[in-house]
Amino acid sequence: MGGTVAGVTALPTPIFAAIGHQESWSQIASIVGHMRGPAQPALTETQLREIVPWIPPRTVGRLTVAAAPNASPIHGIYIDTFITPDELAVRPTRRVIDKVRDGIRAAEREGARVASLGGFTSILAEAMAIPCDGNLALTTGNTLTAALIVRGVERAASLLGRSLDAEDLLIIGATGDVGSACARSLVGRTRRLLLAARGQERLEREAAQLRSCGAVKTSTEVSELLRQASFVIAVTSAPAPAFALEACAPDAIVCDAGYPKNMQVATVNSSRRVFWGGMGQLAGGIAKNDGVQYSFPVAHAAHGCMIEGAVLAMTGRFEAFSTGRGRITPDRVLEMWHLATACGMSLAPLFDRTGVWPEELAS
Amino acid sequence: MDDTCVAASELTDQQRAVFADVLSQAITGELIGMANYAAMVRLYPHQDDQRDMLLAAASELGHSERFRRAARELGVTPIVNLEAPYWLRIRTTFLRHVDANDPIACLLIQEVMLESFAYSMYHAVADVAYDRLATVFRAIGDEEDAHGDHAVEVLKRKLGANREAFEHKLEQVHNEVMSTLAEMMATKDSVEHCGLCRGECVKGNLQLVGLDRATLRGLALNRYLRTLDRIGVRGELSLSWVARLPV
Repeated sequence: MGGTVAGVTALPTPIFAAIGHQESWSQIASIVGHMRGPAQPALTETQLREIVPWIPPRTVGRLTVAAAPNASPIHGIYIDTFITPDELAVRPTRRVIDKVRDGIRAAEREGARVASLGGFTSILAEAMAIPCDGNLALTTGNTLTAALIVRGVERAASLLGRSLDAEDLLIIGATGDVGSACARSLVGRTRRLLLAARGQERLEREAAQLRSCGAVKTSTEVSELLRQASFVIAVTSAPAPAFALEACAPDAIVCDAGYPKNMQVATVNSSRRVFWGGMGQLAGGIAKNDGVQYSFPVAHAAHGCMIEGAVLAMTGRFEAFSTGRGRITPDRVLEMWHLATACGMSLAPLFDRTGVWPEELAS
Repeated sequence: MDDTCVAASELTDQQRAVFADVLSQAITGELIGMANYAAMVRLYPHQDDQRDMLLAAASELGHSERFRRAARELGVTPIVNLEAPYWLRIRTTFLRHVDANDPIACLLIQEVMLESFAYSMYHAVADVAYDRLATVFRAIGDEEDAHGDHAVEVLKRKLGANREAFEHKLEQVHNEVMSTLAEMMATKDSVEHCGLCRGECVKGNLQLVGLDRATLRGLALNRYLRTLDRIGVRGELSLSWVARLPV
């Protein structure tokens, strides 16, 4: 561990990399604004749109993570691909695919041994079969994301005095890598599992594998199931919020694990409860040198997909643990959960855009 | 008159004027490059290095001559003005580093910063120009690309020897030179007239030939950042420098 890459000295070699993108122009503005410094005026969105698409994928932050407060930290990097929110909204172009490829190249150049692919980068890398060299393992990070979503659902039920076996739980995006992993982990544990996805055939195939374990209902119409569900996991790859929180049942608990977020939340006074799913927290802390990207109302929190790379690095397992294509089994979810907790990770206290749940603070 | 001249003759006067202004920038930039390489001869004690600098200067002179010929074929008279405000600012900065006997700063200015702008502009023009002019711009762009590799290797070694010192020097040179180059492509100019456009600023008319200021600026900064990546400069550092450039 450590050492140097050819031509690069005086920097600890990062052992893991997290490759991602921002979900909104305001997040991008925050990064660029931080880099411009307080002395310079903030750029307008028009100016950002002129500049940002041209930025090659690159390291924008260096971080260290540790399993415990006094444990030796390992070094990592965050690489932003600078795929813009506008580019997420349309069919991927050659340019966007190249950005994912260049993000992976940036991780290789820095000498990382394992890289997690966050947000759309994992979908693109998987769909386009983007290769990497033999020294870098790529993981989608979806196994840990799924594990954290399931634990989050359990936690939300517990905090609100609800019992999962009395709930109708809807998974929106049920045929995706994370959605299908959640379905396999939760089937039989709820009164009914409601599965929604766009592709009827794939949805039925997924449901057929689950029906022997519990009640399962499917639909390609989200709105049809949304009112029936008392619990919702939203984990689609929609480029922008696509489902109105107010369309959910009045007592619904919603785990929004989309990136970008899936739910449109018009009011903070809704009777529905929302938390951001798939978020972990590291006991040893996450020390960053930039302080701009991915800031949350909880200290040392990060997306599960990003933490998965760090966990693999901390445990010396430089492997493509999560390879996409709906292959995540409950056993693998459990295995990753054990690995992660052994590295000092726990479920982050439940929070949404307004802050940490009051029940978490009270507990 | 050959076929390409026929194609050139189909240009409107306004389009011809845009290409004329672009050629004025290209010729002046190449002559500045020639002068820069020639000035670097005294920074190197060994004859082989001195010869390389002179060859590079001759190559830049050759580029400027080919652009002049292209201008003649187009039927325009380019403005060649080494005292044009932006270029003079860059040239003055360069000579200060020559006087300070600093070949690394000179390489950064000429081979990384100026070449990034030249390479990206030449290829962008090649993509929209009529056949003959496109061929000239593309060929010269490719030649600029080829001789940058050696400089990248030299700079990589220098960074490897002392990252902090190298990145510190690079940041200073970036602030001196890239801010001027970026301003040449920015919406607003700090000078009244660039000294090379025949009439009003060409930046507002680039769309007449299928170019636009923001894309040229973006391509140049993309090329610049990629070159710094190849050298091994920390991505977050180079990004923070570029983020502060005039827009």
